[in-house]
Amino acid sequence: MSALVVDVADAIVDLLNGETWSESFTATRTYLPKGNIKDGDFNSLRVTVVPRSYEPTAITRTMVDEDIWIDIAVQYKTGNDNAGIDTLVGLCEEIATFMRMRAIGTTPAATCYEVLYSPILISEHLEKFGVFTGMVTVKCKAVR
Amino acid sequence: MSDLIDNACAWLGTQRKAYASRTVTYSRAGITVSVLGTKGKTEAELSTENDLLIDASIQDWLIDAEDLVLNGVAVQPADGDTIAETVGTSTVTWEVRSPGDPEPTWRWADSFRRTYRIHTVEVS
Repeated sequence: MSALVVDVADAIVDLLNGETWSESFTATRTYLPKGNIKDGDFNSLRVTVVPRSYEPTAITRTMVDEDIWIDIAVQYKTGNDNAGIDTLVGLCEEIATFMRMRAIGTTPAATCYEVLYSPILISEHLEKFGVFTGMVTVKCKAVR
Repeated sequence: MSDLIDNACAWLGTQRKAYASRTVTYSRAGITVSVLGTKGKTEAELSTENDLLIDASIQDWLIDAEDLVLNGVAVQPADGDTIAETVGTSTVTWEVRSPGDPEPTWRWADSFRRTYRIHTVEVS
């Protein structure tokens, strides 16, 4: 049996990879989003989909409301280049807008009903490593 | 009367350069200078902010302020500058970056402002 949270994350990867974006990328799913500076992991645009949590709530004796949180991390080594950072902030907003109220083709069907893009970037990553990290968190709901 | 501490620091500085340094290439926007640099603190850095892990090697470099001259102009270290060192047959490149608030990109290594302690992260 596959986990709904994994199915949703995989479906989001497919949705992201099926779209045309202002900056091209190939999203991947991982449990442990980790990269190494010297290996050049951030020298190209990196979009990672990370299953975060699953919260089922009984709404009747036979129905369960399932909330699923997924993080979508956008990372690239921009240095302190404002124009480059602006572009990636724009991409994160693009993703956030795309995901809002997006139907996720899973069984049971899920809908992304809450999107959060905050903070705009992780300042520690930019200051220490010159890496832009923006994270869009989406909350999806399924009922079965 | 001369300042004995100042004199001692100056002497130590010459010894450091003579016996504990290597030639490295300091670069900014394509302008380079060869300088003698001494490796300082080295450590691995793992940022786990928001569970997003970034793995990196951190290195401090000691470089004399009087040596850091680009295109004939004395400069202070700045974010994004690079330091390249030859290790065996490879070139290792370090990028000047702050190790995080409140530590700046660089600070003076001595009380007499002769030597920069420059914080860097390995980028290739």
